Order: sequence, then structure tokens, then C-alpha cells
Amino acid sequence: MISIADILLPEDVLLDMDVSSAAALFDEVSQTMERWHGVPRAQVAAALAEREALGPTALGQGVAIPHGRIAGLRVAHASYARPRRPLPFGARDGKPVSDFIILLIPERATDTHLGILADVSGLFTDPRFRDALHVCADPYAVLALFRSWRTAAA
Amino acid sequence: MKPADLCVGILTHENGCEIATLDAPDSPEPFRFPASPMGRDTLKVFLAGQRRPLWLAVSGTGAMDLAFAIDPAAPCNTYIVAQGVADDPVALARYASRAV
Repeated sequence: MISIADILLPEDVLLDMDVSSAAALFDEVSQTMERWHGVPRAQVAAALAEREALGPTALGQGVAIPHGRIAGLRVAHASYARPRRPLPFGARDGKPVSDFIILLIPERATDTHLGILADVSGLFTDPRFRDALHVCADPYAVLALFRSWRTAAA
Repeated sequence: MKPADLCVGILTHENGCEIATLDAPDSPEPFRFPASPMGRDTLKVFLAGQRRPLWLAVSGTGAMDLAFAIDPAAPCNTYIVAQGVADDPVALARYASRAV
């Protein structure tokens, strides 16, 4: 089964982002997706905004999973984004969001989407994982944690 | 089943929640989500974001709660299946597809 660690690259990890709104965060992520994966920035921003218009993708506990379906995309892409200051994002528990897992999914890749979501919710349900993630100071440490946590927790 | 429709089976039990769809009808795969508010909310976010007509077959109290809690963007039909009749989310998804 696919996991977030399978598709997350060092370039996809954005830490200490100096943004004051979710729109600004989406814009920076969109630029990254265009630069490293060739997905047009406008298409990424539009897909994320379109999904958020249906209702917030915040999960509580400071975690959100904004995602969009992208026409013509061949494989899924992900980004882990951590703003310097947590952002309000419409979470039911009222907590601002400090951890954004942003997913770009091909149009007909429902199982890929579900597999990544299952992995992400399993990881972030564990408060020890969230705490460990917040200590990570660089993208390589973030990737190492995503890759190792399942094995360590098993 | 129409290609535009998404048939989903959701099964909950004390250890968590399992979901399967028939989007890849030849090799449907079950996915397990944790029995936590975050696991439940992740599934809500997934289902609420679907723009295709949804056909859900649910089994278990948690699955029923989930089906009634979502506010999907597209039309949604839900079938409640008694616990013990189906113990596999793929079988539930297939059950939902028979109604399409």
C-alpha cells in the first residue's frame, strides 16, 4: 500500500513558512509543485481552493489535509508544510493548523488517495508522532521520521 | 455501474474503520483507518470532497454515524447493512454497486 513517505521528497518539505494565511501558504506550495514537479501553479492553487470551497480539510489537533484532483497528472504528489505560526483553518476543535499535508491526486486514483489518507491519519493520530515531527528542523529529518515511524511503532 | 459513480463500502469495528471503493473494480483494496476522531474526520473529508454520485453501503455504528455526518458535494445514497451480514468493505462496496 502506498504511503506518504513513498511520494514525499526533500523539496516537498516546507518548514518555518513566513505566511499569514492559508491562501499564502497554498501559493507557496503551488510554486514548489510547479518548480519540482511541473504541475502548473495556477492549476494547483485552483484545485486546492476548489476543494476547500466544499468544506475545510482540517482534521483537528493542528493537522489539515488540503488536496486537489489534477487533470492529466500521472502520479500523486505531496507536500508537508509547516508555517512559522499556526494558521486558522476552520477545524472543528478550533485549533489553528501547524501541520499541512497537501496532496495532488490524479483524477481517477481513488485508491492512491485513500492509501495516503489512511497512512497520514494513522501517523498523525499518534501524539508522539506529532511531537517528534515538530522537533524536526530540516526536510531530511522530516523525511526520516515519516519513513521510520511505522517500523518503530510496530 | 456507471463509470461516473463511486461505490464505497465502509465497515467499522472496535479496532478501527475499513473502507473500499470499486474505482478499480478488478482489484478493489481495503484501507484501514484508526478508530480515532482523526481517522473518522479524515474519512469525512474524503467523502465530502467527492464530486461524483456516491453509493455507500455501511455496516457498524461508527460507519452509520459517518454516513449521516457527511455533507457531500454530490448526490449520495446510503445503504445500511446489518453487522454480521458483511465483514469485508469490498463486499459492502459491491453490495452498493448492485443498486446503481
